[in-house]
Amino acid sequence: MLGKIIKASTIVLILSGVLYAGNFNKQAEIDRLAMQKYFLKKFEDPIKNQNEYFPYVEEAELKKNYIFPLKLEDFVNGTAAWYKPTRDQMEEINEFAPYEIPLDEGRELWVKAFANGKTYSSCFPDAAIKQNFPYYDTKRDEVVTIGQAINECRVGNGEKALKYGKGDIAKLAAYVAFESRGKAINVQIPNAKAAMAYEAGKKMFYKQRGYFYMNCTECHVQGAGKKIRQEALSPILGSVSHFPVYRIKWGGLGTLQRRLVACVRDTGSEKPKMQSKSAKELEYFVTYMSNGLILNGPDTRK
Amino acid sequence: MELIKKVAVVVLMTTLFSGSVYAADKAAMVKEGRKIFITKSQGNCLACHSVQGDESIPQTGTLGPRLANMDTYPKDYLIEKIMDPNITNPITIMPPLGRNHKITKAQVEAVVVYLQEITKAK
Ligand code: HEC
Ligand code: HEC
Repeated sequence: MLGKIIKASTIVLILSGVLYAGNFNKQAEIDRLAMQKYFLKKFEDPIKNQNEYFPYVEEAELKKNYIFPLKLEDFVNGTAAWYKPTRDQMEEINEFAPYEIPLDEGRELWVKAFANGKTYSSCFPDAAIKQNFPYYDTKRDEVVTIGQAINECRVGNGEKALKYGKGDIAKLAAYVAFESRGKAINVQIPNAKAAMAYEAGKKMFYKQRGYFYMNCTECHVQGAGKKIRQEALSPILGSVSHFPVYRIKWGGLGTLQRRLVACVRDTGSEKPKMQSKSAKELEYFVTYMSNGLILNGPDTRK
Repeated sequence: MELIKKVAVVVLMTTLFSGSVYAADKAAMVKEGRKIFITKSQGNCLACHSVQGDESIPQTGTLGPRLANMDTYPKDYLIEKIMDPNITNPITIMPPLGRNHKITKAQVEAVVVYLQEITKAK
């Protein structure tokens, strides 16, 4: 009898395992589609749905400055997708896009030989790979970002790792982003540990913490389409498609990691290190939310 | 009679005196409250709120409601709201700056004096 029960339950276990395999992104897909649905509804007609989504924005402002209805593909433009003044400003600035020069420098760095004679192409035969980042490395059990992969290529070739966030690493990332333009973001969740990394990133996104007891949603989900001081807040959906960005405030290119850790600080908590486990897991979650959207980096931001 | 006069003078002086001290106190508190309200490293209230009656500051934040007619609100409610907004609204996005000791109770009181004064119907 006992043997039978054990046998039966083993079979059930194996079966559910089989059913589960290849389905590690089940929860992530539910989350992603819910996120899309929320934003499409929110920006379908802000005037009609003002009570639900924009209770404190004056109707005159909605009429004057809001762009709607937004389609899914519009979200890759961040704040410029919904806010006319930002869109106009960006169009004007990008006539002579400030990222062009650092992008050219990135292209030069990419083909410049290391001391051993090899180039980045020895690690990345094709530079159009941004859509797959960050990815979960199942051998090392960690999330790998594009910046990390670039540095690992350098170190593997006897070069020093670059400093994260800005400078050469951002220029190289800009080149990769440019080569990847037009590809759809395609972050994968290959196994159960990757699903756990995704969940950790999700928790980081939703957990209220710090002095301000805030989380990311307060500015980039509920807060998206509203203003904090003079800053119009971007929806998290599509907010990663255009990185690295040339930010006027930074006076140069900056990577997604740089932006993310700065925003964690904005919640009133301790700023995590760029490329730390938690910062990478946050990038993993946030990028997964934009799966399917088209890459359009590098770009310019206020 | 002399005595009554004396007492009257003293009483008058005290009321006048305390009255003017009170007015000076209040003006100082309004000024301090305003500073806390707009300063990023203090209340940073302006990030999310616009305020009725103070046209000298930018009125752009729309994460929170426009603060108007605050003088018609009970003072205690306002102090509580700013000390810990979660008490009246568990899911609010307004940060609990008092509860988390980012600003002191005295600073919160100054902000309330500022808000009630500036949004008064004129
Ligand atoms: C207090 C408000 C606030 C909080 C909380 C906040 N952010 Fe931001 N975030 C901003 C502002 C302001 C900007 C610049 C304007 C914009 O693009 O939205 C920004 C920009 C961004 C961008 C770049 C968007 C673009 O198109 O360039 C990303 C990505 C981002 N935030 C992610 C996050 C994440 C993840 C969290 C949580 C850890 C977070 N933010 C928390 C205020 C905030
Ligand atoms: C991150 C955004 C944010 C910040 C910063 C913020 N608030 Fe708020 N505040 C809100 C929101 C959202 C509400 C509406 C929901 C609620 O009542 O909790 C609100 C509500 C209020 C109310 C109640 C208004 C009413 O009509 O009932 C008062 C008063 C207030 N805030 C004052 C302040 C003061 C003073 C500060 C700074 C010390 C401050 N707020 C900082 C977002 C914010």
